[in-house]
This record gives sequence, structure tokens and C-alpha cells, in this order.
Amino acid sequence: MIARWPTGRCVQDDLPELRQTRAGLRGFLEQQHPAWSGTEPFDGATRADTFTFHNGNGRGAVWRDDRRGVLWLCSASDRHDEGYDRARALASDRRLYPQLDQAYDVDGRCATVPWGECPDEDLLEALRFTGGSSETLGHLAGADQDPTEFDNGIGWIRLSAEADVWTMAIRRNLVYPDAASPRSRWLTNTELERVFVELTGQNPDDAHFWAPPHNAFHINIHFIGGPLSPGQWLTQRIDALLAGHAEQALRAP
Amino acid sequence: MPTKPATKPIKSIRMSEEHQDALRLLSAYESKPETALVEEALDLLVQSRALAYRHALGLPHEAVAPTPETVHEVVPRIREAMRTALAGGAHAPSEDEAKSRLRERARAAEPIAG
Repeated sequence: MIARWPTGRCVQDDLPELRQTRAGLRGFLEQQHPAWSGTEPFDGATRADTFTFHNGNGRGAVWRDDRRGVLWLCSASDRHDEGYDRARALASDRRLYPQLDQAYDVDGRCATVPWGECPDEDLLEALRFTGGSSETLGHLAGADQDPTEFDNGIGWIRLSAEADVWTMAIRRNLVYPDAASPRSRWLTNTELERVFVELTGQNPDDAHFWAPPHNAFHINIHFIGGPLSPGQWLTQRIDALLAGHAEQALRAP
Repeated sequence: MPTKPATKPIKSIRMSEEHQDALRLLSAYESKPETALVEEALDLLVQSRALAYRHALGLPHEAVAPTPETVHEVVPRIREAMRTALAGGAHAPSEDEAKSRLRERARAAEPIAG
């Protein structure tokens, strides 16, 4: 379960400028839990549970989002005073906190707005979709084990193996509980390929994608080599983020 | 869902040259009868409408979230729901009606503080 990630604004504006704090960011993300201790409440906060972020001389702000169980890195800088000043300015401009669905359904554990309206909500959901899949599917070692499925109530993936050929079946639609139906949608072919890449680390050109007859809901993918482990999946996502590739497998159409 | 071979023609459909060509090509390429391709395409068309029609037809979450084992249940459920809707005088919502529903939802959502 992804429980720590930088906001889209932080990735776009702060991350490219980070040098010394970049290594600290990796350490921050490798600990995927939402708890935060050891720093003081951020004095520019406009929400509860906002704390300062420290890394060497670098400073910024984090916000613990209890509804979603995630610690957002809202701001980061290599410099001490400038880091705090920037976080205060962002709070005052109402840009410090992630862009999230205000009607987020805690019981249903899902957002309700159409994809694209709240980018950080989409980002978190995309990470939790492939990350959750990796936790479930990444433990399948080979053909001597039963097929395994990931189903978070919204998206669905099954992985099986027969001899040396693996088969991943991905449901092509995301379908939400009734109250969130405007968010339901079909995945694009590019998204389906990216889900496969995130879970296997393989080039889709080396796999065989095929659609079962009479079934618009699923795509089947044959490939050789098996899935990434959950640890490899997380490392891959952090590497991509720090390299400036912030896009996730699922994204607004 | 497996198809049964048609025993007799039940419908005559005029089709553009372009689509006739596509049907012939696909039939040759996949080594399948044209009838099987049309039947398969109809199933896929109904399934592709599932998300859009689900709410208007009163279908549950599960109806449009099948596994490969339950996917054959989707088209009959949508067909039955369409039959019921038509009997009640209802038709598929237009794009404008769907957008209106989104706007109503957005207005109904209560903002939180912060």
C-alpha cells in the first residue's frame, strides 16, 4: 500500500531543483508508512497534521492525510529558511496541499469525481492500483502455484503461469461503487500497456496482447519471465520519479 | 461467449462498401465466418456501452465488473434491463443528460474545511 508520496506540484516544481535533498527523498519514500514523528508542526499550516520536513539543511512540509492513510510531501527545498518561506507562500496561495476529491468516500475507499479533476487523487489511486497488484501478484513464483488475483473493488488483474509462459489478464474498466459512478471509465490501450510494464518491468513489444472473443472487459497478455516483486516495483517507481518521469500507469484520459 | 451457427438468415442488413470490405477482410484474416464476427461485434458493442448505461438501467456495480468466468452474464443482463427500460418508455440518456447528471452530483458534493 502506497502511504507516502510527493504531491504533483512538489514533483513538478520542487523536485527538479533538489540536489542534496534528493537522496533524502529516496529514503523518505522507501519507508512506506504514513506515520511521522520527530519534527514540529509547520507554523504556516492551514490544516491539522501538517509538519516540517527535514533533510540535512533542506526543509519543507508534510501533511498526514488520515482519510486516505497517506503522508504527502507537500514541499521540499535544499535550503533551510528558503524551504520554510516557500512552504508558507504555497500555503498562503492555497497550493501547498494535494489536489484531492473533497467528497472522497472513506467507507468505499474511493474518490468520486471524474478522472482528471483532482490530479493528486488520480496519482494516489494509480500508485495504489499497480502497487496493490504487485503486492498480490508479485509473490506468484511459477506454474506450480494457483493463479492469483488482485481486486480492489475498482480494478481487477489476474496472473497465472503455465510452464514458462505467464498470462496476465487485466480488466479494461475501472468501476466504482454506485455513489462514484462518474469516475467509472475504460482504460486506454496505453494505460493497459503501462500497467503491464509497471508490474513486469518488460517491454510490451516482447509480450503478446490478445483480446478474448465476446469479451470487451478483459485483455490477456502472454509473456516470459514473471512479475516484479513488490520491492522491485517500489524501487522502480521511486527511480522513475527521481529521474523526472512522474507519470503513472493510470492517468486522466 | 460461444456462438451457435445461424441456421437461417433472420435479418438482411445493408452495409457500406467500406464495412463490407472490412467484414470480408476480417473473416479471411481470422478464418471465421462473417456471421460469427457480426455476433461477436454485437456483444462487444453492448459491453462497451455498459459503463454508460449502468446507472440509467439500474444495474449494480457487479454487473459491469465481471471476471472472465462471469463476462457471459453481462450482455443478457443489459439486454433484459434495456427491454424493461423500453417497456417503461425510457431511452438511453443523451450526452447532455449525462453531463447534467454530473453537474448535479458536483453541486450536491459538500466541501470540507481546509
